[in-house]
Amino acid sequence: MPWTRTFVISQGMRLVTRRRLALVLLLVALGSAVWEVPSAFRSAGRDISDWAGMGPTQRELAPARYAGISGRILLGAARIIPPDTLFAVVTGRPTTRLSPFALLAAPSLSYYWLFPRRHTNDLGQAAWVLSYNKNIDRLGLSYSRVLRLTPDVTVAEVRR
Amino acid sequence: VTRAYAGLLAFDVALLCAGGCVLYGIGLVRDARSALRLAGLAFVVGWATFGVLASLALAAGLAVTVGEALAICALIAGAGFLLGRRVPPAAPTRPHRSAPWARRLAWGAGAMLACYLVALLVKAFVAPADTFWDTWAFWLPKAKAIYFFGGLDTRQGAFASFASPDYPPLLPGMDSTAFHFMGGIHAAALPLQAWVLVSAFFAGAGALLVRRVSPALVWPSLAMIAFMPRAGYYLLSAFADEPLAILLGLSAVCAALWLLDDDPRYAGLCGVFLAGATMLKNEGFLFGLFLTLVLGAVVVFQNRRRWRPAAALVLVPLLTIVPWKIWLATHGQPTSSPYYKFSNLAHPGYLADRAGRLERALSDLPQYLFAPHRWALVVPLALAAAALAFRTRSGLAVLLVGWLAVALLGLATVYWISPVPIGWYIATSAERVVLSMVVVCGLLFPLLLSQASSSREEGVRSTGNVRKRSSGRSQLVGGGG
Repeated sequence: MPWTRTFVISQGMRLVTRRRLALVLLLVALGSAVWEVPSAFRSAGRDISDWAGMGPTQRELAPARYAGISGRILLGAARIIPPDTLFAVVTGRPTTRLSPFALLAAPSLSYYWLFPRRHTNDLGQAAWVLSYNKNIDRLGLSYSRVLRLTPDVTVAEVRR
Repeated sequence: VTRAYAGLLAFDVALLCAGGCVLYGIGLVRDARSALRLAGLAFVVGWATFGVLASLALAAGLAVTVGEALAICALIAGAGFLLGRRVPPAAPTRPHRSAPWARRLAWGAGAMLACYLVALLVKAFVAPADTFWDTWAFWLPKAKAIYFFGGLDTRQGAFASFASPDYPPLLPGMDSTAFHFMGGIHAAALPLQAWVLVSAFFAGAGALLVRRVSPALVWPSLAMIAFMPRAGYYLLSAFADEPLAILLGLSAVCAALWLLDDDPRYAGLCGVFLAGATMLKNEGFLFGLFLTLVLGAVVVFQNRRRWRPAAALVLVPLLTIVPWKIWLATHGQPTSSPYYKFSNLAHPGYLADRAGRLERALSDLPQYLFAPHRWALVVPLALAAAALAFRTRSGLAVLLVGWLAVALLGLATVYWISPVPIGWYIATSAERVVLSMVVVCGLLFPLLLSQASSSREEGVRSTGNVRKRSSGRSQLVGGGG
């Protein structure tokens, strides 16, 4: 019957069109991947050459470097504050060595690095205070030991 | 450091074996050849299954040390073997007939992807610890807290004292177990673990899709995902958005394969990945639930007799999250996010006052989702393929478009009801949360293209619950099996 033949031909043509369109989409997908290949490999190569010479401690301290906090501070605090103690972190105003971003990141980074020491936000419970450019004399605590890690950062043992 | 890598390798071998046994259990792996072909999928299945059970073990008070981790893997393996005695093997994958140029296309795209993974492997070996804020502000501190304090701990400075305490513990639990295997905290070794998961994902997604679709469609699509402009940033990261995209992407592929083939194995795998996504992040629960609801609607519309497995899948995210919510409630922790409370949806006045936030979210989110400088053309191409496939395979097209729409609305709702400043909230989270949506689009793209290039009769034949995988195979580029 003529109308059936027309229908079948039209269906077949639609299928061919759909297949062609699908092929176009596939080629666009592949093209978009190929387009990004040079920048993806360049970026990976850049990262590899930037990181290749780093030692194990430097690699572990990368978040501190990202935040603009000297690794010496975290390593020094870990050396002084005993494990299994509660410590608090206080921050003051920015300096030339401690940017506003570094001060924002300092508490979280210190908590991250100083495990298994536990942090507390309650100064009254803290056995140690790590101060990023904050005058610890104004915290209302007395200290048995105060050690300067850098000109801006102090670690102090609270007298109980 | 060498010991750390050896420990990581041992952990990964245990996960691979556990996942392989799950695949044996559902009949996808029954010989060495299929085991090798599906090794990537086995690893991701092992990662997800172990992660869910380890999260439950943590909530039950365990620390998931090396011994406990091996016991969990043995439990998974034993369950897989027992299941395998009842479940018949799946039909083997039939080779696709393809034109020579199509084979070259598949090989070229696959080689491109493999070379990039090798470059990423080198990068992972020399990479430092992840510098992304969330990683060191709460993801890794939670892992360290589990490692040092013997599990989930609510004391000051322990697991519950970091940001987002309501997030399920799958990722911190996986990292702390990795630390146990490594014999100490080695955050700089975690990019290598992320690389293993990413490589397993690409291999596993490829192996799953090739069971139904021509390799000439599969490998260019996977290369498109790997080479998205922002992919390089996420692929080796230590936060949960990348594994979430992997698990949601694979659950969407399995849901689509179940929709097309009516093979319950795929529904089972979909459930495993959904459970993993649920225990990774709050978005995993939300997106997973939406996926199962849209899948259920499509299935019921197409064939009401298939409602039971669809209903069971809807229950997966709901039941998986219950033990975690019980742990939160019984340990005095907030059971929902401080950033949003869904109970606010019941307060019309609150919502009306914030209508501008909804408008802002609905206008900003699509910009993140469609951004070519972030995700190339993945989403527009998937939507175009869905439009093309709608005629022959409306269910698959509706699954993708419906889920995308619902997920986008769900995200916009979260931004709407949140009390935090919307500009900051969107700027710090939108790119990460749309990553899963983009990966789902990229993974369903070859299936949609395959359906678009098959005739309507072939499409209908393959849905008719006849379980003939080959009937609806790609007709594009000479496929047809």
